[in-house]
Amino acid sequence: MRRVNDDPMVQNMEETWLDQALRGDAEGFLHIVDAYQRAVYNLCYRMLGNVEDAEDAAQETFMRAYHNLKKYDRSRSFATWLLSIAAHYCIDQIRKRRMQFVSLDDLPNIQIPDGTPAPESLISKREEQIRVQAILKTLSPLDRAAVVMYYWYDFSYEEIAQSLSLTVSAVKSRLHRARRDMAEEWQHQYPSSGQVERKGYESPVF
Amino acid sequence: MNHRYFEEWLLAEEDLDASQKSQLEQHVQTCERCRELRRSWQEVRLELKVSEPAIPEAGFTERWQRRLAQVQHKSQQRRAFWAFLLSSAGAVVFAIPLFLLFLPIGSSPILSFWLALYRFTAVVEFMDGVVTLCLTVLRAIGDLFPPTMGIAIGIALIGIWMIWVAAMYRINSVRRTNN
Repeated sequence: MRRVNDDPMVQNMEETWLDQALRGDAEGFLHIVDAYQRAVYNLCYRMLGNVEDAEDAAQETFMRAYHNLKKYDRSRSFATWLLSIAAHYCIDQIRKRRMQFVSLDDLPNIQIPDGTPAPESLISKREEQIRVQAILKTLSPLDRAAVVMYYWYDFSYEEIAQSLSLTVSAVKSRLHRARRDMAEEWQHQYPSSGQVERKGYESPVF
Repeated sequence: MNHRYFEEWLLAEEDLDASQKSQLEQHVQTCERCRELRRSWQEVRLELKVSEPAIPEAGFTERWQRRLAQVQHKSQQRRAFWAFLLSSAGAVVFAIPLFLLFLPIGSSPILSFWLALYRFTAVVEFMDGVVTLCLTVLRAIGDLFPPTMGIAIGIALIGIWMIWVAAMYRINSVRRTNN
């Protein structure tokens, strides 16, 4: 499981940067942008499905966070608050534009671990991105946000509920439905060998 | 047992107890639909877990900084526009009565000229009266208070003026950015 930001330096400095930003010094907020850009961008990309919209949504998320920093409740996790802004912005965008597609040429940069053969690894990772996006796009925007928060950021049900303005039971129910929908979509796209053989056997031959 | 329970157990992330596991295994042996659901969900789960996070193009923070500068510049322009609009509206409101005051309404150009001149002299006389009144009040105040009080009032007025200038500067200035 992956956390939003595991860097202990970021966790130690976060309060200082927030204090700086709240005093009106944008320098402090630039450190925040630097530390959380990947998490916010990944959520936006998983939600919107293409790199241009993901970049724009991630930029807008930080802009909204910067202008509403005074409303941030310091007793809550900053990452939860920030990803909540990103998720709501992306949900609004999807509802406005109804754009739920993925293009093979429109894939983001991905992290390739050092020491692996680059071209094969890159192809494999790109195929993986396509498969993941293809199953995510079948979900409703809210379900998609819940899945990304649960499987990419290891958010608890309570954190997801806080971020998406839902109850804990609604989050559980949405995640259950999302898992079933994704599994069914997977069955549809990648049927097991038994299913494929049987279908071939059962098809009429003239 | 209800088929729905098995589906919930199959898709649950929480650990099942021994009895639930045993019941689920028995059910999956006999139910092809649940067997397929388990296979596909396990494959999807693996995809989600191994999928690397997408990362933005290099220079994201610098792009955000530029965007912030643009947004702040636009906001400053908007504020300047509204300040100009309000000042212009105030000037127009002030100018309308003056215009009406000097609007010549005579039946001939010569008569209109004399009428406008008469109104102008009336306004000058009124302003002269106001200035005389103010000077009398100031002289009376000067007689009542010692000269040091006058200096103190002057300093206080300068202080108020400086506070006003500082407030206007803060309203029109933007947050510091590291451009």
